[in-house]
Amino acid sequence: MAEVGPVGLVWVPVLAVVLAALTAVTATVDGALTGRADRPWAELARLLRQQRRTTLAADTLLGRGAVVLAPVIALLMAAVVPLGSWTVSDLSVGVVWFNALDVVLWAVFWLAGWGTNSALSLVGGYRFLAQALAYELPLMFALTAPAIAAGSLRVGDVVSAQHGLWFVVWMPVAFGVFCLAVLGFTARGPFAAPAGRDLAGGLTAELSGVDRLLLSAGRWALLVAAAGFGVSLFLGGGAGPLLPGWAWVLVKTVVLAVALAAAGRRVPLLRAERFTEVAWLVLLPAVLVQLLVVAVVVVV
Amino acid sequence: MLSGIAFWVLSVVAVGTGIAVFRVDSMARASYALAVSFAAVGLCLVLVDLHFVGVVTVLMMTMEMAVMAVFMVMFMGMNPALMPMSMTHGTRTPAVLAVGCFLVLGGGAVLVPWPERRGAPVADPTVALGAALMESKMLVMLTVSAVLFATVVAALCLATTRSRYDRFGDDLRSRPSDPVRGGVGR
Amino acid sequence: MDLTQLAGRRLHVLVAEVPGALPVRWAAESALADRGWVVASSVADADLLLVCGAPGPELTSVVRGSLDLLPLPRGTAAAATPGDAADALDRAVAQWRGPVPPAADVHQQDARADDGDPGDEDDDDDGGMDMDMDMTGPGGIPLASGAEDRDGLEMDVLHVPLGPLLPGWPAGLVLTCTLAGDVVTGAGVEVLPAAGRRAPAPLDPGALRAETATRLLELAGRADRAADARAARTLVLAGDVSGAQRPWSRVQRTVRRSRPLAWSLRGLGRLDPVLVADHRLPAGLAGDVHQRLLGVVDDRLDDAAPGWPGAATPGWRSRLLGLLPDLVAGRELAEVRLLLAGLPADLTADATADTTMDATAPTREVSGG
Repeated sequence: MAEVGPVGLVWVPVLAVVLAALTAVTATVDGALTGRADRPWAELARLLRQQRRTTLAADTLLGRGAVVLAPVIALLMAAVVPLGSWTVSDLSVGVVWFNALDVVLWAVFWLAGWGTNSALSLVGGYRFLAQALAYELPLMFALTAPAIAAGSLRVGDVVSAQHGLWFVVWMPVAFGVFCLAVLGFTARGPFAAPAGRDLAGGLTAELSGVDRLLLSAGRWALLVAAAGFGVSLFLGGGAGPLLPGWAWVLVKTVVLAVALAAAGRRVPLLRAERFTEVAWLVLLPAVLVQLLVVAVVVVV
Repeated sequence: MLSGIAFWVLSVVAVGTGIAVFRVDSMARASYALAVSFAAVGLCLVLVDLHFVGVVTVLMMTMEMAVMAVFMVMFMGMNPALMPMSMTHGTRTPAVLAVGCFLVLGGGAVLVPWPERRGAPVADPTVALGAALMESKMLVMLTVSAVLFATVVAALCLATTRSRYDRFGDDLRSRPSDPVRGGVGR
Repeated sequence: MDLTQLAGRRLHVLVAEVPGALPVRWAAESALADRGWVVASSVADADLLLVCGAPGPELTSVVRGSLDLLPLPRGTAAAATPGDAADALDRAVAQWRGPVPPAADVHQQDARADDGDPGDEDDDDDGGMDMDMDMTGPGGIPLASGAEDRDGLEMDVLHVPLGPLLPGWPAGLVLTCTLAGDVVTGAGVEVLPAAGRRAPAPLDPGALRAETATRLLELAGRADRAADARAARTLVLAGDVSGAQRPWSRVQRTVRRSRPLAWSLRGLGRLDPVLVADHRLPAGLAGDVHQRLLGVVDDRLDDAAPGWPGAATPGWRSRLLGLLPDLVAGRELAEVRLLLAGLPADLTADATADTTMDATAPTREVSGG
């Protein structure tokens, strides 16, 4: 397979368009699976026409800044995902870059909850932090597993190291934890409590119009970007017959993103205090054992 | 050229937001101004080719500020206030110390005769940095990390107000009595 | 295809249900489902406001306040009878499509009025540091005082009214919670009554059980099974009981077999059986949220047996409402919502203007924990 090479930051607008297109496709397919394929487009039109709200004594700098940051972080995550043999940024620590960005999401969602000066949205922000403290450490170790197997933190090297066998086959625990963490940092499925209906929408309780659109579209874009990263790390990147590498990456990303959204719908909301015990006492040792297996295989 | 501009921009951002920590009115703005300042420093490290150290700095500092939001509620007993509130205590001594420190360190950085570079920089500066710091003492480093972790766990166990005996009763045989049950059923 | 037409395909409707008007709300929800619209989760999320039933004066002022908080473009209509629901939606949509009023009329009001969603609470407190001890914060909202929460930490005391326009919430119920973080330390209960003096007609018990199942499943995160329960309810109301059994059996299967659902709901909202017996409440209310959910889905929807929640002694509704402040204290917000969603859906049905409920209990500070 061709070596992954950087094309430079001037291609970032193109990447943004690609990410937006993939997000649109994923949301439409997901809408079709839940009954209405035009659901995301109707929501987009509705929110574009809707007036923006301000609340009393709101912290607009932090609140609106956070809402704008959500899609930007998705774009930054996508910048290290190789599309075939091209990648916008060939950062030598691409895996750690992704990890740093999903930690910046902690700040983004808490600030979105804080910004509107509403009790329920602040509760939503703190619920996100409680869940994030649970899934973050298993995620960090799960991201280390492919890096150890490839001997490098560059995403391009990880993709190349999956030549014969995709990592998902012998690192299923790491892949499972990665998928769970993606659902966690997009506040979806079992981790939807921060934006839950019991809090009148939680983080989105007082948002309308453009703000709500940016946060919702940002969450979808994060799902797609993280799915793209997961494809590179566990599902072989652009490997596959017939189609060129970049086409396979796009196809696999959409499939993984739709699968994650569908799986999230079938699992009920998990309560944060119960999930925390499971994450620290079950998932973390499991991922450490997975790391041990990977390390032994690499050395031997 | 580009990296020079980037360096100056990041430096101004880091110093400016650092000053803003003490000038803004609310705890939330202060914490996240501090987060932005640390992130700018991390990105400066990326500029000098220490990619891993730089990105990890951004990661750690953002997580710290987010956790600080949790501690603000726990120990300050209030959600961050929007009221104009003086964030500083005992302003004179720390200001003198801070300015003095800055003059000493800055003066040193500018006035010390730094040696000339011999040869070319290595391909992976992070690995070279790690090796220079730890190579001859790798076994000690491995042991120290385990000891550090054990110390943290031991300190938490000693500091917590609820022990096994509070949870399980004096004979350690009763069912656990927790105000909020966890998910694993211990 | 312009933006308006596309946006009109999936409108979000805030349904303001008046006590005793549950059939009207059911008709409205099936009309929404026919058009592909959804129930809004909050005032900020809504395009239309639909009032189901005839509200009394307090509820009318709450609805009016909420209407002011809806973002433009917006529309509103009232449906007094189940048959009127679809026409009311058409009237509301016509307003939504119509011209936008000039800027002077759309001043966003202070949300501290007793409105549908918990209003904007200021999380202020003065730092206790050397500054003027002025007790008003930004926007003129008074600063919060501090008190200990369930675990002994000192936290801000916030007064947040929950209801009456929340989805999956007893109609007309306003629970003024005193929050420490997200734990309720005390509450005051008030039911905003309907206008008029007629007691509402008794409701189909199968439809009531399906309604409770819908509310619980929606809050528990299984929106697909909640939609099935809603479909079963619509079919039962239309008389097609055998057709209703198909979606209902899916609901039954999921509730009985899903282990994540059981793990997630177990132990929440526990009502002591002794308490239930002492206050002569229906026996099916004892236990936790999962046990109540199991009781709700236990029988077929057309079962003639008493079913859930069991034999009802007269006056149980007002007794239960009077108990709410004690039941809710010390629980966190998610648990409070699940507890209230698991109660029979016609809890506030007798609240008409002449039967002023004795459940208007003042805020009682019950020290939790």
